[in-house]
Formats: sequence, C-alpha cells, structure tokens
Amino acid sequence: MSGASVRFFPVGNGDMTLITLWDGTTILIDVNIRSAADDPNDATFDVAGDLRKRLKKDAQGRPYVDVFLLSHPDEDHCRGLSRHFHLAALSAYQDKPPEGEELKIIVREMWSSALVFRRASKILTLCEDAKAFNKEAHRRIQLFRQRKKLYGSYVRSQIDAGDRILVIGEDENGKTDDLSEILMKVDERYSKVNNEEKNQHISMFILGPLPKQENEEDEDALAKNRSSVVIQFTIAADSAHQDSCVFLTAGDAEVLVWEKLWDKHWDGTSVLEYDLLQTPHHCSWHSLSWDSLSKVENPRVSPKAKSALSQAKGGAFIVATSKPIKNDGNDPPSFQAKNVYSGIAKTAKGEFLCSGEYPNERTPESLEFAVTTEGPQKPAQKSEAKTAAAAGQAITRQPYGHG
Amino acid sequence: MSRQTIISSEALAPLLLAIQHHPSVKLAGQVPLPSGETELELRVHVELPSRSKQTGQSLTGVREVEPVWLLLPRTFPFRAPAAYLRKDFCRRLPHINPGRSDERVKPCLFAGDPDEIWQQDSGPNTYLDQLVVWLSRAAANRLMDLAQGWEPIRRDVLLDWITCDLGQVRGLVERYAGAYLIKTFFVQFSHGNGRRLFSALQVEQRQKSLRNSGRYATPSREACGITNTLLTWSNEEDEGQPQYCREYCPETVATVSELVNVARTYGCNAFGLKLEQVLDGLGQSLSAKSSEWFPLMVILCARRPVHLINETSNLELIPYVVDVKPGKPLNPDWPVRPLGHRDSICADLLQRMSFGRAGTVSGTILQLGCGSLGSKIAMHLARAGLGPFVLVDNKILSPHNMARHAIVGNELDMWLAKSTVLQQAIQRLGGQAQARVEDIVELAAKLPPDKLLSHGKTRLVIDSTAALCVREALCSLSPNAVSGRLVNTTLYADGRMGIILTEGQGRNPRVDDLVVSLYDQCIDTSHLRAQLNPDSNALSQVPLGQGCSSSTMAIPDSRISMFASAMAERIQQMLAGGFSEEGDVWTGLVGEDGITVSWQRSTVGHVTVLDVDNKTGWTVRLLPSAVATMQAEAKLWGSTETGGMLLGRVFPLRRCIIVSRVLAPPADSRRGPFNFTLGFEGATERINAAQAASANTLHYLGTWHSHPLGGSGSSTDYSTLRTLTKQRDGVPAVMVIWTPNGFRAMVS
Repeated sequence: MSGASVRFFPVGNGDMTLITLWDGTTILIDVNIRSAADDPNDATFDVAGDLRKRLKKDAQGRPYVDVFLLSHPDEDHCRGLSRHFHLAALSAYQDKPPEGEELKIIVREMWSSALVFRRASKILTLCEDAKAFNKEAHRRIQLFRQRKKLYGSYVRSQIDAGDRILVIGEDENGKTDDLSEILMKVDERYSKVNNEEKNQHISMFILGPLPKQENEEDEDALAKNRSSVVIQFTIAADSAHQDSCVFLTAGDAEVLVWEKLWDKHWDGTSVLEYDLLQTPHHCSWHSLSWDSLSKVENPRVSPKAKSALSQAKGGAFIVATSKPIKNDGNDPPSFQAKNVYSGIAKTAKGEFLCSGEYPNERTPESLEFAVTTEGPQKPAQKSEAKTAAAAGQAITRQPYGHG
Repeated sequence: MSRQTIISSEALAPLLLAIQHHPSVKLAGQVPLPSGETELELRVHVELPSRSKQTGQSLTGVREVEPVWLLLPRTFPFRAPAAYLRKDFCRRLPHINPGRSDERVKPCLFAGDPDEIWQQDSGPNTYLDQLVVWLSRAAANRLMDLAQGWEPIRRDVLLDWITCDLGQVRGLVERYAGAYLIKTFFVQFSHGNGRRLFSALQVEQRQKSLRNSGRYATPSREACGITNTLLTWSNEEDEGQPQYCREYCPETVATVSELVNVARTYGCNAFGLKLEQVLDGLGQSLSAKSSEWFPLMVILCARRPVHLINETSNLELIPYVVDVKPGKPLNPDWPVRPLGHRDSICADLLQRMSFGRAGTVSGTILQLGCGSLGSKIAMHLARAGLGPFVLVDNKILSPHNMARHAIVGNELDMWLAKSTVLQQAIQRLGGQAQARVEDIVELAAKLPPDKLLSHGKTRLVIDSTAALCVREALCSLSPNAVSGRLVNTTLYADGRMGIILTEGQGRNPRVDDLVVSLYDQCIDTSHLRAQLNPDSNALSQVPLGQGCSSSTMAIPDSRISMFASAMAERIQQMLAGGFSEEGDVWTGLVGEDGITVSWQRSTVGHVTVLDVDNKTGWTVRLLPSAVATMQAEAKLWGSTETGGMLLGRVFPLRRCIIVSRVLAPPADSRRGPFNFTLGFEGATERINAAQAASANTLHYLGTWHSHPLGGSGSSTDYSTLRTLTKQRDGVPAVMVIWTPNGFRAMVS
C-alpha cells in the first residue's frame, strides 16, 4: 500500500527514520546500519535491505533518497553511511558494484546541520562515516559557491540532484553568510524538498539547532549538546489534507535544548505540537533532566523540558528508537524516561512504543505509521505466525496452479 | 439435516486456534445454524488513526472494537468462511461487495480466491490478518489508494452481466450532461439457484427512437431479445470548474427510487429530464407483453477525480438493469439490480489474458494452409490477440476434418472453405481476418499480395501446407517479392517430429537452404535420420466415406497440438522480440515415452549464391558449412591445388543446386601446383554412405577444387564436368572452384 508514512527502523540505540510523502518522495533521517544487520548469517534485522526495498530507482536503475538529513554527526546516527550511500559526484558512481556489494544509494539532496563547519576537536571527534558525510557536504557547498560566483543569484535551481545541499541553522562565525539561498533558518517554515515545492505534501518548521548561547564555557561540549537538528514536520495524507500528521524529531537534543525551546515558544506552543514524537536521544534521561540518575538521590525532571515535550495532540504516539527498555539502570534507554513519556502519552489518550520491542523484542521489525487524514495510524496487529517466519521458522506454501 | 452437513470440531479446530492466538481477534460466539452452516462471532480490535482515538470511532465510523461474523459454509473447510460486518457499517467505502441496505455488509477482503488462500498452511491466520488489515484501512479511509487510481465499485459477486467495450461507451460521453440510447441484445436464463441475465451492447447502433423486439423463447435459453441501454452522464464542468464525483456510493440499489437517488449523486442528467421521467417514457413505449417483466439497462457514468485503476480514463461506468412492465407507468418500487461488467471480446482483452498486458502489435500474418496444423497455429496466435490475419486455403471443411481441425464446425460450416471457417472463428474472437479461397500455389507463385491486403504490410508468412509444390513456388520468388519473414512449419513421421524453419534477412538463407541443412543434419544425427526416412513418412489412405479416401497421415489431434503450441510460441517470440539476421532450423522430437517433446535449434548463416559461369541458367547455393570446409582445405594446401566431392540436393525444376557438405577426396587423388585430379579409390562407398546417412535426401552433386592463383574453369575442368554428367545418366553435375577472390561454379 503506497501513501504517506513515517517508518522507524529497529537499529538498537540509534536513529533511522524514513518519511515517505504521498507522491513517493523520500526523506531519510539518520542511519545506523550495524555490520551485524548487513550479515546474512546474523539474525539481526536487515535494516539496509528493508530500506532498499522501499526506495525508488532512477532511470538508470540506481536507488535513491530525495533527501538524507543527518541530525548530528554521532556514530549511532550515521553508521553504515559510506558503505551503503554514494558520497561523491554522480560522475563517480559505480554502475557495477564489486561482487557481494549492492548499488549505492544516491542522495539527491543533503540536509546538514551548520555544525559541518566546525573543526574536529578533542570533544568533537568524528567517526569515519561522519567524516565521509562532512567531506561530501563540503564538496556540495563548494560547488554551490563556484556556481554562485558564475551565475550570481538563483543558483539553487541550477544545481542538479546529487549535488544539492541545504544547511540547517546559521554558523555563528559567519561561515554561512553567503549561503542564504541554501539555508534553512531556525524559526522559519520551509516546504521545498530536493528543490521542488512540496507544500501540498509537507512543511518543515525548523526548531534547532539552537544558536550559540551566552556564557558557554566549553563551547565544543555545549555545541555538541545543542547541535542536533530539531524539526517539526507536518505531513499531508493527500492534497486535500495537508495537516494530517505532525511529526517531531530531534536527534539527541538534550535538556538544555528543550528548556530553551520552551522559553521561546511557551506562548505559542503549536510549533512544539505533535501527533508522533521520536523521543530525543533514544529515550535518554538527559533530555528531560539535569540530574544524574545514579548520583542524585531524587533526580528531578526539568518542568520546562517536560512541558516542551508534552505538546501531544489527542491520541499521539511517542516512539523511543532504542533497545528494549528495562528497569536496569541503563541510560539510554532510561526506564525512568519511559515512565515520563508514557505519562505524557496516557494524558493524551495516546500510546508509547519502543522500536526495539516492535512487534516483539526477539524479532523486531520496522515500525511504519501510515499518515491518514486523521493522524498517524499504527499497523494492524497480525498473527504471531508471521513473526515466527521472520525468525527463520519456515512457513510452507503450495504453489497455485492453473487449470 | 444429514450428519455430513454439520461442521466437525476437527474441521473447526485450526480456525479456533488461530483466533485464540491472534492479538487482534477474540471469539464472542459460535452458533450452528439449521442450514448446516456455522456462524462465529468475533470482536476485532482495530488500530484507529491517532486523532480518532478519543472518540473511539474513526471518521468513516469504524470502531475500536468491531463485531465481525464469519459464516462457515457446509463445505467448510474446503471453502473459506464468508465475513460479514454490522448492517450499519459504512458502505461508502471501496472493496465492499454489493448488497441491500438491510443486509449485513460484505467486505471484499482478498484480491485472490479466498477458498484457495484458505487451503495454505497459514490459511486461517492469513484470513484473520487480512480481516484486521482491511478494517484498519477502512478506519483510515485507506481502502483506496488514489496514487494507483480510483477503485471502481465492486461488481464481482453478481449474477447479471453486461458486456461492452468500455472505450467505445466512454466515447459516447459528451462535455455537457446528457444521455444516449444503445441497442442491446439480452439473454435471460436459469443457472444454479438464480435467474441470470446476460446482455451485450451494440454501441455502433444508436437507437433513433426506442425500439425493441419483444422476447422470444429459445430452446436453450429462457428468453432473449433486443432492448435498450440508457447511458447517462453529468456536466464535465460548472462555471469553468471541473465537476468530479469524489463520493464512493454504496452499492445498495434495489429499487427504481434508489437508482434515481444514486444517479442524482453522480450528477447524471438525461435529456434535461429526471431519470425517473426518462425511464417512465422508455417503459411505456415498449411493445412487449405487459404482463411480463422486461429488462431495461441503465449505465450511470461518474466522473472521478483521478483515473480508474489500471485505466487511463476517469469515467466510471456503473451499469444496472431495471425490470419494467412494458406499457405501464413507472413504479418507484420496481426492482433494480446492479450489473457486472465484462469487456467484450477484443484483442486488448485477449492480450491481457495472454501476456498480462495489452499493446503487442504483431503486424499482418499471412497464413498459408488452414488445415489441422495451420488452423491450430493461427488460433493460438488469434487467441493471444495477435493479427490481423490473411488466411489462404481453398480446401473445404469436411466431416473427417473434425478429427484434427482447430474449428469444430456444425452442419452449416461443412463444405465451406477451411480459410473461411477459420476467418469466422478469428472474427468471433474480435480479430481481423480475411479469407482468400484461392489455390495456394497460384497465390504463392504471385506474391507479394500486399496490395491486395486491407491490413497493411505483411510481417510474417507462415507456410503450414507441408506441400512441396507450395515450398517450391515460394522459393522461386525473389527476396523483394516476399514481404515479411517466411516461416515453414511441418510435421513428419506421423507427428513424432516437427520443424520450424525461419528464413534469414533478405531471404538468405531461404527455406530450401534450411530444408537441405535439415537433411544434412541427418548424416550426423541418427534419430533425425530415422524420422526423416521416407519409410517413416509414408502417407496412408484413410477411408473417409464409401468409395472415398484421403491420402494423409493418421495422427491424433493431441499429437498435432504438442507441436502446434510450440510453433505458435516460437512465432510469438519472434513477433515480440524481432527477427534475427540469420535463419534457423528448430527440430522437435517426441521421445520414446510418447509425451516428451524436445526441441533443438541450429542456426544457418549467410548462404553463398553463385550464378554459374557457363550460362546454363543454374544457380548454385553453398551453405556456410560447405564454404567453411572448402576454405579451410584450400588454405591448408596453400599454392597447391586441392579438391573433393560435393553433397547436396538438386532442385531441377527451378534449376537450383544447394551444396550442404564437402566429402574428402579419395586417397588416390593427386594434388599439384597447376592441377588437381580426383581419385576413384573408395569414392563410391564414401558417397553412398553419406547419401544413406542423409536418409536418402541428399545426393552426390559433383566436385570442387581450388585455383590458388585464381581464374575460372579450364578446358580440362569442362571436359571433366562433361564426363561426370555422362556417368550420372544426365543428372546435372556441378563443379565449384575456389579462388582467393571467391567461388565460381559451372553446371553441365
């Protein structure tokens, strides 16, 4: 069944979310493709295979996403990127992949946080996949700057799919000043996807990354803390129903981010509302509280952060994209955080779910919410036999004949 | 109630187990019915869209917990249960089967046959899962995926049918609201428990005024006759705005007044009058007996916002039948039934059934010979929606042909030309066909017939006559005279062997080259030899009547079909994939088990065609295998002359010699720089052995030798040739000379 949807892939503690618009346009937010998931002999759910099944192919048969958005460059948000995605000019695309490998996925337009302009430092260390993302982002920005020199204005429309990039948030050192055409600024609403106007399909209200704060002592540490892209997506079920599913996603945004967002929007909370919330930082306690769970006796939830995360519409779903959540002192995912979110969901007559527990802990599968005219809809619960088949227990079928 | 009509607990167990373990389904009741059926009542949990959760009911009225009844038929578990929803379940959804508004709602759960799905390992689980998915889609109004197109109203389970070409009917719909009366043939009959109606629209016949034939009974049908179909539609736009019907109307129409309501929803407007006024007028002017119900068809046309699934048009045609009492004023309570639609027979439909999609353009097929093999091949192609056809045969269909001819004729078809009978059959399939009751040899001798054809250029000529005279006539034509590729299909050895010969581009190789190549294959392939041996191919005299017999092969129809189907498949491959440059020979043989047919292909490349030097009017054709041997031998001996003996076939009536094979020279042959002398030692034995191995289809033709320095035949060569002919009692002999610049040939 086609149609708009939001799909969470089971990637342990990590994010990998595919938004599909009703016309088939795809926006992939983060990836965390662990090597076990790529190993056919390992029972871990094959997320890359599942993703590839859902992607369209271009005229040359190459799989692509219209947009890849990296919320921030932590490894659990970009693992497997260079293994599965083409991160270079299209002219360097390998039509015949080496034996045992698949065609790489083309990213028609990259969406990157302005953090891409930060130099790596002791705290801001980057894994190989993050470096590869940064390198490709810089190539695309460089190409934009070259074109801008040549053509002046209206450069964005003169850049081809595969070379396109949008930068989210402004860099405080002025490094984004000449990029206004490809900038998505905080507190603004956008609706172009891969350079196409999609206001019949989706709009994005940019809530983060947070701008530089005063009194930042260790700038890098805080920069990382607040660097995640925070977006409220409003997704249409069809051309007649634009406001069908409001989806709030925030990478690893921590408590400071939510407090600041509440300070900014407490008198206009509609930009924080959601029908579907991806719990920040894999259901981490530190998105809700400054207090350490282990060191503080009665750790307190920040009222502001909780308010910012409580703008659930009636019946809203809250999804922790994490490992199964246990009362075992782990964080993330935190059992205490789950309790807070469950409370928020209950108040809204909604539901709290964990991607690592869907449909069961043993054999998690990707969890797709259909975007309907009345909000997101959870998949129908099917019989367990199907799940047993996914675990390798074969169901036999007789072929149908023709008489 | 007999014992076997009660469903046993063993038969029920798998379903009850599946219900017990299903996360979304609970059993609420189990009632055996007096009819022998069993009804299960279920409570199904439905995942509502988030924003409907507070009210516990979706905008389409689906509840968080829905009651569902499964009616298990007496034939359970061989047939699947039928699912029913509550009577007030929203009917304005796609994938709901037609039903009256006072009946429980019947969802259409599966695209396939539920009875078959039920037989699988996980049948009950699959069934329950699909029920749950169906309800969750109904809750979100997602049963229709507009990206794929508009889901037409379900019409699967009906008893009454209308056939027409949708494109043709849609072509009648105009921009402004209106209506059209179409002449319609109908048949009413009993089938199983119910009375059924079948009707066919004759769109090309607009009714100027309302006419009908009345009904008349026929022996096999209850009644048939001519009536009218009223097609009515809405305005395309209103003040510049396109007018679409976005509403999915429930199929609950059972009376005239309900039909009128639905027509209003679609905006249909006939002649500026209300539908009931038009129907009243139509009914009153009917001249049939007023005591009997008389069928009037109505097709409502709804303009949808998107195209229909798998179609390009957005016009949904929704047909009904109204039973009226002729001459009586319209009664709003008169019964109306929805009609199912079936496409009328046409190439599009046949191609969809054959290939999964329409759009194959085959070009004109010229079928020479409409006997048992030709008629079967042509019918296979026609059933695949290919054509048009030009059918040539002047032989008549007589009773003994019923043993094997593709067309089963009645007494009226007997004594018509076979081509005419085949033409009628293809036309009944909606195909284009022209019959030419002509002598095939006469027609073959004067091809191309293109200017005589009404269907454009011929793409394929199929010779299924198995007649040597037709093959010879076709071979006598220049490449330009034959439009399209020539394919020869023939059965041998009482139908134990079949061949498909396809000529190459520009008729090179030609069908005679391919035949000789086939004969040549016998030398190395003993089982081919056995089948092509004249003893295996003797025609026998089969008595057909008193003092009357036919010279034919006695072969059962089934064995001819074993080959005809493969031949038609091969022809379809070529029509779809195009023709290769080279020619080929396919040989199919029935194995010893009598049912295995194995086919083998050999290709034949470009044939070297030589006009002989000595102006005798002969043509010598060298098959590529013979050319290759001579070239290799000449190269081996370099500046020394060499040579050997030639095997092949002479076609004296066309003055044509085809060389298929080169035999090594006898041991006592002498090679020298300026001459080559063929020896005698063992030559006769070698030639006789090869000739016998070819099942006596090939014979010794003459000799070849090389002229490394070039040049044509010497006086010695001519005198040798004369000697050779004399030895052969006047049978023409050939001498081929290889030179570095090419071959030369002489024929005595």
